[in-house]
Amino acid sequence: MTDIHLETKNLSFTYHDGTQALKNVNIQIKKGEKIAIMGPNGAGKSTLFSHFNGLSEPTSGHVEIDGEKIIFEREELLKVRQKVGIVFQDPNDQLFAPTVKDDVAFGPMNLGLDYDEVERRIAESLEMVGMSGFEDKTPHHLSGGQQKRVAIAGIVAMRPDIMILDEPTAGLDPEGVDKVLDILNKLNSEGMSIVISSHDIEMVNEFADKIFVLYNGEIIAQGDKHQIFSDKELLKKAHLKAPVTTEILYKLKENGLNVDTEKLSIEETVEEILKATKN
Amino acid sequence: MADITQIMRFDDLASKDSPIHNLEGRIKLISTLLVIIVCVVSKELFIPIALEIMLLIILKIAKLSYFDSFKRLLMLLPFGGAIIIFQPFIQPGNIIWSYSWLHITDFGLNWAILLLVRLIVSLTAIIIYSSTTPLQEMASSFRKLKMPRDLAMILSIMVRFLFLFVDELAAIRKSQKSRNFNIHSKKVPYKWVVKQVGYTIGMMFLKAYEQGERVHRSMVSRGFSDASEMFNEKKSPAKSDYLYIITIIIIIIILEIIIFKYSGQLGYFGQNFSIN
Repeated sequence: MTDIHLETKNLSFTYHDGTQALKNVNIQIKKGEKIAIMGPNGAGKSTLFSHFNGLSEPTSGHVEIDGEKIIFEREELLKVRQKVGIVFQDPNDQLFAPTVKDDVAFGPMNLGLDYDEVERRIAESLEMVGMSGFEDKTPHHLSGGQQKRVAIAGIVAMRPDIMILDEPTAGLDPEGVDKVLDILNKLNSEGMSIVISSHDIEMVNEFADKIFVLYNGEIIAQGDKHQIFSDKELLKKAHLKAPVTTEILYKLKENGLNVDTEKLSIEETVEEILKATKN
Repeated sequence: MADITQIMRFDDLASKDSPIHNLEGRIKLISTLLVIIVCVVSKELFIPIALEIMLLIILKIAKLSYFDSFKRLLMLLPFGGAIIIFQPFIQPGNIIWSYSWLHITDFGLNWAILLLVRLIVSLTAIIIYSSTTPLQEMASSFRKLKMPRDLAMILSIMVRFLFLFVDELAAIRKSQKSRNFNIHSKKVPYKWVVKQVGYTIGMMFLKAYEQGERVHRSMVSRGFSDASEMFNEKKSPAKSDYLYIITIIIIIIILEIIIFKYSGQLGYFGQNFSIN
């Protein structure tokens, strides 16, 4: 048993119209990791995600879950989709049932679980995302943040090993973002691997252990946030921006202060500035 | 203004609180169908009129406005009314009024009155059902009453996304309005206006299609296949639900007994007006 959960090997994908969306993508996701995949619009993030649970079939290369290649047969795909859950960017694409409860029940029902177990999982996953008491509400009448949390509950109820979230914080207010991050951190602390895609540098800075930078269908860099965010050339190439803390440290360095530009959190940055100004 | 956004108001009305609103969806659906069937098979005026009185009392209990319900009845009446209006003139019988080639017969007139009363009772029952039951509850009632899975799923998905599309359409129209678009504007050629409306409708079709594709992907991603079953919450009807439907059944039985035993004493209301 390896500790690699999900791995893509030379994954390439070309659309029918000839657009090559993914080129030789090789990534490894280990158990319990918090991963962010960053890249500009149209870089291929959503296409990449749709390969993780067999929604799209690679043109060449393959995806392995727990060391086993995804086989495109119904029973096998069902297993893969139980292990790898995807939360889509727009909750309206996911919440199709007339009530919250029906929607959260959808995944577990597809797994063929009995009613009592389904009921248990509904209660448990709504509790987990802080949406207990909304069971009989219509998804349409919920706020964006609430819809997002219900969409997450719908995946949590399937008890996946890996959760993939496409732009989980897009369009949410700061409180909504915090709530979603709390949920993701909680799930991660229980052993679930989390993969998100985002342009939100500050959020990724706060959340991710490891970052992959996807540009034009290729992984152009990977590493921890210190490595990625301190590489100004890379960020520029991938149409991204460094976190404010990094920008400040770079400006201070340009102005002759001796600071370490790899510091990222606000606390570390303040400490670094204080240290440099004391000397 | 009558437009599609009205449907929202409709559903708000159905989400209010009253003893009738709080009944289980299935019970309401079954009792509505029961009232309609009994009323349609009765050949005398007595039963439909008695049922209408019962429905008017239910309307009151449901805290619905008589005026609004009456307005909706009037709006729906022409659909069946068109057939009824010819009956006095085309049915054979004793002529009670004539003008050149036009005759009204007594059989025809009585038959038309019976049909009209049946229609009014059926519509009242449907109006009560639809104004006390939110769309999504209707969908789930059909599902619980063992509607085939695919049909039930189409129905519940339709109900869910209808609201989304009403919102989308409202957003498009708002953005058009904010750029001074007006269907009745005299400043632009009529053809151009029609074209813009056409674009809007086309856009809605496109959005519907794409939304459908995305929803399907997300369903497949949660393991949906043709073997999947839908989740029907197991909630058994409460005491009040049984009380409601039993009361209706008892009233119907009493009415049937009255008509069976005493139809001679009811005069005009006890006569058989059916022509077949």
